[in-house]
Amino acid sequence: MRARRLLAPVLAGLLLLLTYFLVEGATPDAVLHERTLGALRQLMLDEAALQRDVLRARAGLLRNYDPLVSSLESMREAGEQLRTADHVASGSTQIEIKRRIEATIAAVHDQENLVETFKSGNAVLRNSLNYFGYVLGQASTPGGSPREPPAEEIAAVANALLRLMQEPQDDAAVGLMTALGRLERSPTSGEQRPTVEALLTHGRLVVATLPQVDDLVARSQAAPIRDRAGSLQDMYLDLYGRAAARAGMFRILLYSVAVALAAYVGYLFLRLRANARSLQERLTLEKTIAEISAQFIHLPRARIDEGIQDGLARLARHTGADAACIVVLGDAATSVKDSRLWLRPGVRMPAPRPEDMLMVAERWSVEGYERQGCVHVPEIQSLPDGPEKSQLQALGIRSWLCIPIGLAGRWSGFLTLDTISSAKRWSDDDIALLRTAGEIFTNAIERERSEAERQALEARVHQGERLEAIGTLAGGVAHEFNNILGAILGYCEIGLESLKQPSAPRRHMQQIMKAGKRAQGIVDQILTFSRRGDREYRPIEATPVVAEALDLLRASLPATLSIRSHFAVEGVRLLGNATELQQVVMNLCTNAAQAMDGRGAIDVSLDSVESPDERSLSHGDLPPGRYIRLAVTDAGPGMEPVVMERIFEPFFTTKRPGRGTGLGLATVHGIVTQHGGTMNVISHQGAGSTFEAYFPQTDEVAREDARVEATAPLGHGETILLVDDETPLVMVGEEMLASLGYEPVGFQKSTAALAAFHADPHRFDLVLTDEIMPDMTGTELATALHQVRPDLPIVLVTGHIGPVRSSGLEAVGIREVLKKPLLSNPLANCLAKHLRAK
Amino acid sequence: MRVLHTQRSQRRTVRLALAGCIASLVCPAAAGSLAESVDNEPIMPVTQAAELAPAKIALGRKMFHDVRLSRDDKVSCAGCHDLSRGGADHRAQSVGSDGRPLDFNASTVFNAGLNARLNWRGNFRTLEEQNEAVLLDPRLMNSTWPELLAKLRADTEYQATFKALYGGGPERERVLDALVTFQRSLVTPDARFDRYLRGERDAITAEEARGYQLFKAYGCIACHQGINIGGNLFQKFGVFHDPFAQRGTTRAADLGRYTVTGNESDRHVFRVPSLRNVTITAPYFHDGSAGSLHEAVAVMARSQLGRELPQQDVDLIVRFLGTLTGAYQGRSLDARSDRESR
Repeated sequence: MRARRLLAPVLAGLLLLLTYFLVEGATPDAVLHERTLGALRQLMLDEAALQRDVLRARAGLLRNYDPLVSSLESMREAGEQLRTADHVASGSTQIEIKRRIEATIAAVHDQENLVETFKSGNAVLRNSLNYFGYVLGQASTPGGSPREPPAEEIAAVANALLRLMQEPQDDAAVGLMTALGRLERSPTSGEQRPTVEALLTHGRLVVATLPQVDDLVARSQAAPIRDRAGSLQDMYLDLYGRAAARAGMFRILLYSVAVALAAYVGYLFLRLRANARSLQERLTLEKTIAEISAQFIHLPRARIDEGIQDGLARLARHTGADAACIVVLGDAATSVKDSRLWLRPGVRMPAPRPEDMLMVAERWSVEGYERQGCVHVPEIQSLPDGPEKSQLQALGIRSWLCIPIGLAGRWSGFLTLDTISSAKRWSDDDIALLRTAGEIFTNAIERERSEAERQALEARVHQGERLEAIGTLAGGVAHEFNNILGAILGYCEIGLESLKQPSAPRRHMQQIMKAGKRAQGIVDQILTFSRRGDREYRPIEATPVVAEALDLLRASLPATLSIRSHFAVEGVRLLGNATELQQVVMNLCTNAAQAMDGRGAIDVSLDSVESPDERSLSHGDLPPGRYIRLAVTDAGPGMEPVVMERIFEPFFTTKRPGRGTGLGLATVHGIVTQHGGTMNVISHQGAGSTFEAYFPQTDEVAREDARVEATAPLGHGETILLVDDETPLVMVGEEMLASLGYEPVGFQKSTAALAAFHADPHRFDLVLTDEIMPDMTGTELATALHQVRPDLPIVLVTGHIGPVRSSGLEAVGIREVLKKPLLSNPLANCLAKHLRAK
Repeated sequence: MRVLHTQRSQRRTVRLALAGCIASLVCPAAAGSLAESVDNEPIMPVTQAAELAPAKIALGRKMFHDVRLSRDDKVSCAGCHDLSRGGADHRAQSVGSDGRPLDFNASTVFNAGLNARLNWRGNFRTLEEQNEAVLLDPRLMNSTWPELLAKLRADTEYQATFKALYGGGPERERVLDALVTFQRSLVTPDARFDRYLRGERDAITAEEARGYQLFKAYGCIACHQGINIGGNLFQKFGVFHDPFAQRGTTRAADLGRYTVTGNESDRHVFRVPSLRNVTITAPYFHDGSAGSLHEAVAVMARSQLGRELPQQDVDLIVRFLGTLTGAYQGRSLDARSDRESR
């Protein structure tokens, strides 16, 4: 718009300038010039002719005045023509040349007046002289009059006239007058009187006229016409020369402007052509980019990678680049998430590390190479020395273009195009288009990545669902098996009591007992793995718990194995269960020991990590927050991805049959998940594995009783009614209670227990009953007991994991529900709590 | 001075006879015989006018005879310059538009273009100036350019002719150009004397030749010379004898050129008129005061030459003057006059 507003004045100015040059460059009018020169020449010629003719007329050689008239006429015309001679001058010189012209014309005018007077005077003079000639001719004629008296006087007059004609001096004139006087006084015959009279008149006229005419002749000869015309001519020619030189200069200027304009037109033409060509190139580049873009739209995920390579190749080939690299940055834009490189076949260059490229691009500090937010180095050689130059030179490239690609205002990656064989200068339009192309690539890469993430997520969800299904199934089965095992082991124990002597049946019974114990261990583990939700966690300090577990482990491991502990944190707490935490440590270390075939060192580290963003780990997502990370690293052979995927499934094992149950890691997973944590496994084949357990960190202060937990609270001989339909469990329970300082009274039948209660209701301080029993369930029993003694605390023990309606439980006096198998610590705490409450 | 030097050599050759010597000295032409060569005559024959456009001549002729060029369509140029009557009106003084006589006798329009100056007082140098002055002079045609041009433009024939010749309608310059072109064509070649000058010895009679010799010998030739036999210089009327003295009163017109220049030396000075066709353009002099040629020649001899000519010499000179009548459009002006007078 501004350019257009400028255009009109510029054009007008140019036109004015050209017009000025044209006007000034015009040679002083050639016709006028010729005319002026001709007039001057004519004037001088005519003047010469006129002066000659005046002399001839005076001498009587010219007998008509036509030549004088025509010369004067011609001079007058020439004088008029001279009036235009001032066209060669301007200003003061023009005034001067005008003055000279006027002077010349005035001289012509004066000359004309002189000549007019001369003609009249000369005519009279000639007439008189003519008459003298006639009279004297008559007198000298032989046949004429004889010498009569006035003849002497006439001769004297003729003599005096001759003298006057010869030397027109005053004394000659006086002489003629004297002669005329004598003639007048001489006696004359009447016949001759008119002749004498005429002679006298003409003679006196000659005396009067001759000096006048001669004076006119002299004056006309001395007329200043030639001088004035000469000086006018000098001045005119000088001025004309100057005007012509000036005009020549302006013509050269005009020519220069014309040449400049022609050059400008040529330049415009070339630029137009260059523009058209670059437009054409841009169009084809745009087309190529559009094709690349279209290609990506319908490309299946599996072929996106291929498509990116192909697209880069096309882009680079089209633009003449030797190498093209696309780098996708991580969320924080400081790390490289992905990159693709295309090299022209036959081009050799050290593959650039995307991280290095990022460094160069991010820390670019050389001024003058940034265009449209890109870094463009047409010739690396010309860069000032510095890290940028050395880093780029290390790649062996000649020119470098780095286009950052921003999605939503921040860098998401960049595209670099390098040339190796020759320097290359990119146009701004190209860069803009290439940025679009770069965005297409990063979008494609992002798409590929998100596709991959989605698939991984799907796999994990699938895995989780399977784990849960297996857990539920396994939990149900394990519960049933647990009860059966209780019976088997109980009866086995009883049987062994009765078979004191060594015998084959006793040995058999012992084997049954052994196998049963092992089965019970497995069932326990399954139950641990499948335990869900209803556990109560407290804030516990992680470091001492883990340290205790490691101490236990060290004692049980062979000497060939060592455990190196790295505790980077002190006093960090998690909401959890110390026993379960120890179980996690033990299981992971056992797994590690087995992975290393019992040799080498296991690294156990404990630290605190802050995860600002949600992170995706190998076996689950980690919501943002602070975590205590327990990491166990082995130097084993590592795992294949397929193995890693299923590593936490129950019964999945890579060990030889009999060496493991396949429940250890499943239990770990169960516990960690229960704690709201996530597992992460890093494994490289041949380079060992690291199992990381992330537990949410808590700021809750560990409660006082949590300390007590470490040493179970002991009873003071309170009587506990223990009811379980499975004898071994009754036995185990009695033993446990006894060791905790209580007085257990066990019954296998609920009815028997109720009977004992009715016998003495106040004998018991607390009731511990199994729920599922053949005659009367734990709940039914509790109802009956509650009716008699509402204050009596009743604790329900169940091996089943199904939900129990707590309101119903409280109505019948059940204070707490404990899970089988009974463990001494929870039991001690439970009992202590309810007895104290009482 | 130098004139005299050149003449000195001639003087030596004729020293024997003093009178002869003087005669040859003061008038070399007179020193020769009467039958001298015509090559060095002071009078030159008139030639046909230069190439002029016939169409313009025709247009000029038409306007020359057109009364519309004057106010109220009273008079045309030809009113005073009747081509059939020697190009003049034969009055002592023409009658002006106001009905009173004008100051001067109308000169013939024939050969007017050959004159160096125009009119009696020589107050015009060109025919254009003179024509325009006549058209606009209140006492002559008394017109104005707007009036005159309007009349011409109203005439479709004029319009067409001007358009054809000048590429446009009547304008001042075009009107004058056409008129002047026509007047330039009014030359009268082939006078018998011209033929004589060209070598036709028998074109004039011996008496007429004798008249010519007298014309030269008496000194008439001093003023009446050149191609137009006059018309190329001024001379005082009354060099030796004042012709106005006996009249008693002097009119302004008699002052001649003095009324134009105001110079005392120009008192009674007039342009010397041409003598071509003089026989048929009576009366003579600026005021038409001489009714016949004989009278005019006698007055001239007396006032200009200081001589009383014998009657037979006057006759011979008048006979010579008769040979100066030329032809227009191939026919002698004599014949025209004769026919007119009959």
